[in-house]
Amino acid sequence: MPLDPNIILQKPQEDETLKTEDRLAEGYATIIGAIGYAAMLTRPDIQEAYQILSKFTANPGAVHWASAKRVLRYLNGTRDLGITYTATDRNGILITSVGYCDADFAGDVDNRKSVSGHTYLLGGGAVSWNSKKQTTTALSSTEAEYTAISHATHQAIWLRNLLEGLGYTQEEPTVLYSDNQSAIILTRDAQFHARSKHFDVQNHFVREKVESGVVDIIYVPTDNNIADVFTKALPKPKHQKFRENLGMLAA
Amino acid sequence: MGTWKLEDLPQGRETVGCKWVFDIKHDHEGKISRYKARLVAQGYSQIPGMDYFETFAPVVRHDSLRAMLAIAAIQDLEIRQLDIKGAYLNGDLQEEIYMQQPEGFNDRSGRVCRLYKTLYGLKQSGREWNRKLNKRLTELGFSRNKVDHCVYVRERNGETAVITVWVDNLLVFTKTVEEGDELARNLKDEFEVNDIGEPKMIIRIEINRDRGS
Repeated sequence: MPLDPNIILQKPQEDETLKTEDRLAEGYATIIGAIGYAAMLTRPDIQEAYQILSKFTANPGAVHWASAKRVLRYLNGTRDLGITYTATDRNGILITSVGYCDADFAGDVDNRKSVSGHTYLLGGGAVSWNSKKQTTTALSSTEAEYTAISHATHQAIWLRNLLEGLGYTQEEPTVLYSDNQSAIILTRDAQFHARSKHFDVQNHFVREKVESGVVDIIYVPTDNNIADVFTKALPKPKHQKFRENLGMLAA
Repeated sequence: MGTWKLEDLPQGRETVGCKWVFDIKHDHEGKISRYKARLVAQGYSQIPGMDYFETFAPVVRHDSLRAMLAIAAIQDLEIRQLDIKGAYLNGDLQEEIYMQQPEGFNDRSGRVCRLYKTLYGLKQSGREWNRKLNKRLTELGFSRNKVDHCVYVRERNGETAVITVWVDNLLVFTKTVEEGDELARNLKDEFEVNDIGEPKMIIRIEINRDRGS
């Protein structure tokens, strides 16, 4: 797997930092840059590894170097993987994309910020994906998931506009899967006021988009939420399963 | 080609330098396929607000490119890759810029090159090339997608054609081979085009296609 799920990546300790200067921090940045390029083009399966490792570009410790090299070995071992798009139904002229989103609450151990991840699939393969540290500190997993839904909705709107512009009318709302029931309820009604009054107001634009039929947020159990792979390092079986769900097959 | 004219440098004007850049191109097997020489202007000495203004040029978003590849698979569209050779040299330079005569081609008259085309290396070249291509594609009936300015769409007789643009690298998506041929011809009328056919590689994404029957 690109990242070992048992290793927690955080800022290097004081004494270790000194040693990294000898380790050529520049070389680390080059590797991360290369990983990022692959992640951006055809390798959503290492997007999360990139998101985490790129935070240490300015000051990599031994564990970050080891993790970055692990990603390279993973890539070397899976170099035949590509995203496969297939015609599931040649007669179906409907071009609609389906999305998944997820959050890892307080996933960044250094500052307790959460991570948002999402992906959109078309023709059985991922066409769009992202993994991003949230800018505001979420106080609950519900808030983190709500923010992730908000991020994913931005992308849904963009994708709908793109497809509309290509002549594929988007009559139905874009289906977006989330694994958090409370967050989904919050996109429909302003419930749980006491526990959600502090939410960043900009995220409430989701409610508007749900109401106007742009997105339809639907529950999916965590074990089937592909976007899990964009928020944290997963054990091998899950990683492989979600990788396949992203349409990544041996080319 | 009208890239420049030799003139005396007006009083008070500076020139930009230029140099030759040589490269050896390899094919996908690593064999030498081409010896390439390109004259580049040393645009770093250009003064903002005088020698150039805007420099931004869009490229196609990766999401759009992948979405088009997915749609091509779903709808069994034809894909054709066209590279524009020396793309930037097609751009018309709006500003008045003078360049030193290039090494090996200096007529020793003391004159300088007044530039009329956007040489590689000038700050505004990418933008001017994009403007030129946009003009051509607009003439051919294409319009820019609102959310991605490097995705062009044309609806004609119920047939949709799409072109994605990455600087000088174009992917043409059409329902029929004939429409792709026609578009390639239309572009060859104005630019020097390397017609690659079915794409194997675009912006370092390898493309394999299995169309079955």
